[in-house]
Amino acid sequence: MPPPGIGLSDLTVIQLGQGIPSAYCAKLLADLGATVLYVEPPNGDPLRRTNHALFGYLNTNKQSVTLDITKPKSGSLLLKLLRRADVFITEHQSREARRLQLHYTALHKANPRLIVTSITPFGQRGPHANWKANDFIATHIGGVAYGNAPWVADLENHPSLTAPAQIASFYAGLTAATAAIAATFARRQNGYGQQVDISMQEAVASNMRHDVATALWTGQTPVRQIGYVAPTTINTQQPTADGFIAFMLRTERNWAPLMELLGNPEWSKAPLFQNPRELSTHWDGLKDLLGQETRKWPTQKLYESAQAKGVSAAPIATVADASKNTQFLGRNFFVESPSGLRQPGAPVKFGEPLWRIGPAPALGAHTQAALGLSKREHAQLRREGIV
Amino acid sequence: MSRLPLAGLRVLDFTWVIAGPYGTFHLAQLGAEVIKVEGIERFDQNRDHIPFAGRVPGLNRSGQFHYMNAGKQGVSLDITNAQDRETVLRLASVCDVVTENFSVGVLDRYGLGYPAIRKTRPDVVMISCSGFGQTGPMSGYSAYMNTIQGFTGMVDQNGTPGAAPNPLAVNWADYVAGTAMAFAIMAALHHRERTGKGQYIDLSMAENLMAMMGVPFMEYFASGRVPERMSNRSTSALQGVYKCSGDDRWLAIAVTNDGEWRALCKAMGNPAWAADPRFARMGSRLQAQDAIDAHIAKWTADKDAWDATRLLQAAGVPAGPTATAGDLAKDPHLRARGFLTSVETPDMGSRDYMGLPYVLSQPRGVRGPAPALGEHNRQVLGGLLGCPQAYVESRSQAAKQRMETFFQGKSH
Repeated sequence: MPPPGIGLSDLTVIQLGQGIPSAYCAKLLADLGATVLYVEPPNGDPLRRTNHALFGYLNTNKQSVTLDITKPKSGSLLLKLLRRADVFITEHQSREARRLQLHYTALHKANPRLIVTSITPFGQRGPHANWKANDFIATHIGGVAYGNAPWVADLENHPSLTAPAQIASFYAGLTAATAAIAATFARRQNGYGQQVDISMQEAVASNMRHDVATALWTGQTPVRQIGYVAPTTINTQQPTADGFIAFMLRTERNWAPLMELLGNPEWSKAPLFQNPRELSTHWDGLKDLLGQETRKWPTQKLYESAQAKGVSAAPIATVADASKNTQFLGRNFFVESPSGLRQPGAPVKFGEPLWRIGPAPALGAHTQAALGLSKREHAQLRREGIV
Repeated sequence: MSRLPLAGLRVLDFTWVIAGPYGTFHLAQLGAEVIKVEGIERFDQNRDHIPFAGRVPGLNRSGQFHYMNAGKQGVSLDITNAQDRETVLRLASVCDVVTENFSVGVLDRYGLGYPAIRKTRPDVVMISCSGFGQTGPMSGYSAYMNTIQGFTGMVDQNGTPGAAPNPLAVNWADYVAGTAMAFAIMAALHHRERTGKGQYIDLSMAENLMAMMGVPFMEYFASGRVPERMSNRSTSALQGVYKCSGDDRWLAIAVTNDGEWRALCKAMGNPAWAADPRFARMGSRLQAQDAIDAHIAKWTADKDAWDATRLLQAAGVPAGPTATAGDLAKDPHLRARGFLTSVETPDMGSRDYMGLPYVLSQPRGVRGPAPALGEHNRQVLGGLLGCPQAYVESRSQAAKQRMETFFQGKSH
């Protein structure tokens, strides 16, 4: 592992949560230099077996400590780790945390400087705190699925779609890492850690600022539609000769240049379409007229021409396309781990060398050292199935 | 009362629209002094965005604007004006952080890019947020959320197996970039705390989004295949969305193990169909999902989505309505947690706001409201920088006039 360039290298993080939210949260911290100990059950995170590549991506730069936290004897070993940790990442809901003696009061007593970052579907407090949700349920009840209407004519018979790529789980992880770092600033001021309470529902509902503001400030609830249409903004996907293209049109600035690019078709000269702030009211008819024009173009030619005119446009690319995109390749976004696993790289480019690529740990590779066990103690605990 | 985590830090904030302002919203709500600098001609265009409070347009009445600019200070300066540029550099010299998400190269063109900022403040943390990054052939592309989502493969992953990719009108790219911006700034400040060194951060919204698309990218890199679109389904859990009573009301249910399957059957009154041996184990249930979905849909058809949610959650089954913005606005849980909270405003009465998506030990709430254009000119330009009164007044007057006259003769 290359030497960390300072960054978060003064922080020790214990990751107990096993889901993507915890894993991505801890990865973000580990990749910036934090020492992250991932506490896994003795037979390992199931992801090691079911999706080795994803496991490798989510666990870069971490250390692996095995511990069966369902065994009573594990309690003191976990506490040993937590006493010298800065951040603890857990997914236990409040009821479960109390049962395992891992609730905040107990942890604070053991280490007042510990930042306990809990990532749960609905947070630690509130009437729904003990409700259950996975990525899919959190996406729906967080409000971001509703607007993801399927592209069908009889929308009333089709449900909205959850978000792709389990993005809600990654987002909860990013949110948690942000909150955990914020808590280190608080600790620098007052010397104390705190409980950081992340709700997946809130993390995704944060993207609903526009629609929730509309509901709360005007009483209106948006109805399901394909695309997003407002007087100043039209967001649409249109067919091309060989695929699909997305446009984000700032109507006052982009409509006229786009029409010009498309050769100012006859229909675009109708008086109805001359005030750009009124295009949205005619969108139902207008969108198909636009599609008839875009269909005549190959995707790449159309988006490059549109971009050249300052109109925001993009192909609907696959992850395979993205992995070969010269922009992303030129910036060395995709990287290879020491074991040769190709993967997405730094989420942002730091000017200082904070970020690093590193390997995912072998199961239990750091158990003995992290728990300070002699060879004999380690062997004994292994026989008992505790580590 | 303890100080807020970022108390004592000052941010010069050039950001506009969503990604940047949402990033500095985190900093402002965490206690940093965020000074939002806007041009009088080219102010943050979200000021002119629905919804307007009570549907009355005004440049400080947009809910969209307030929901990501609450708690900031507003300063109006025009970077096309040489005198104002000098003021900007003086302001930068007393700021810890500078943020911007203009088109690539705009600040450099005006002599306000990182080299100039660093000269006046050597340990500054400066972040530029753009669609595709500050370098490369696409750095000049104009980029909004759906174009960024298009390039990354995210839209391609959205939709129903066998059908065309489904347009993804939901904005992920901006909000995840805003959150990453706050994360990166705090990480860089942490680094500065330890080394005394500032730095420049180049945030590509597309790259940040792809870092969060580990599931499809790693499947592609491992197998060479682009993963299939999954609709609402999963390969490991029984997941479906079912129509409920009422207009366009839907209920999402997930069964992730056998215990939850038994709980679901019991909650539905252990119907005879559920005893079908094909439904006994997860593997065979997933094979028979179409048949199961038809049965569950019959059960939900006459039920209220929230009543059914409460019934299933009480039984231990992960479930929730496909929440609309109206559902979120009324969600008692979000209100009880203080995620939604009201703030007194000077000219719109008491208004409900959405706070940060995490609870720290600081009292939860929203520091707000958002500033009017140039509202804090006197405090910042006059008080903090000691600019001459006539100069400050001329900027304030221009901002005030712009606020008052912008909507005259416009339709909404």
